[in-house]
Amino acid sequence: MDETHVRVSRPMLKVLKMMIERPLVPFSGAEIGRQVDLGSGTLYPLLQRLENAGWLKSEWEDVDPSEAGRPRRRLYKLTGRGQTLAGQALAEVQTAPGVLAWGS
Amino acid sequence: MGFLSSFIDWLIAFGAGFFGHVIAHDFCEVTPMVSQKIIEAAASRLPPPIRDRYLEEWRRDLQDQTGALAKLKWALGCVISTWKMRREATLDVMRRTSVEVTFENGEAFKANLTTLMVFHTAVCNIMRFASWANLAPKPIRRLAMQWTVKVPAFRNRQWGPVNNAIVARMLEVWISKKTQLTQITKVTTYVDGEVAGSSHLENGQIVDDELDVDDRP
Repeated sequence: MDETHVRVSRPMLKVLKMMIERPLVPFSGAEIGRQVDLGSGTLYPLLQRLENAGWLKSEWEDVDPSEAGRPRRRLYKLTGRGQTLAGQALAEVQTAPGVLAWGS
Repeated sequence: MGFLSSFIDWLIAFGAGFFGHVIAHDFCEVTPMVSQKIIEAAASRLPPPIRDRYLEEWRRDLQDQTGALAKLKWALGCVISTWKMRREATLDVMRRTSVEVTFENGEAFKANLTTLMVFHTAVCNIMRFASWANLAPKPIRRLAMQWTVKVPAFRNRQWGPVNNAIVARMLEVWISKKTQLTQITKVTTYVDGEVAGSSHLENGQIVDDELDVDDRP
């Protein structure tokens, strides 16, 4: 199986839709969860799958935890390939009859 | 009498309000700490290479939750995440691993671990049902007991930076113990198509293997 293949679920589409609208903005897990209304139990495994498949990349927020007095955020961003594949996945859903109702 | 009744009602209402406030206050005080502990416990059960990363990430994301109940909900979600991520890691190992069993007549049997596990589960369930329904003769029921007592240990292991040799060793021990087939002479484990380990067996017992002592699980 292709390593970039991911079984696209409905919560995943919500995340991709949100991220593709602002592809240059890095989001933390908490922020993604809040924006698409997903709990941590669904969100982190989903982000991990997307990251392992190369759709997303993540990096630590550029702050020193000891200076900031708080842990760093882990920020997620779509990769170039991720943008293409996410765009395809969303287009497939939008062209499929009767599947769009959830997205608006 | 009416006054006394009103006073008692007022007293009950006051008591309920007071203690409700105290309990709510204590809940709000304690919940962030409990949520932290839950996250630490959840992260500690992740595979070692990703453990520290998620502990830090989850701690930070927990701070971004507003309200005691939201924090608790987020922390409990992380427990579910751990379960899903461990399962995914285990399935990944199973997909990449295959086992070759050689019998004393020289015949060899090679199967992917996922296939082997599906087969094992199916056989276990059939035998369990046969035992439960009292359909099977005594020796089969005894065998069912041996096979179905518990799910193989390696299914529940925390897969780390997967040490292929350890995966191999665990599988070989499992096969020698579970099958109790004295005709097996050699078990070889492959991860990603390459030999990860090999054990020789005599009378169903491992007599030697190609693992360094330090690598033993």
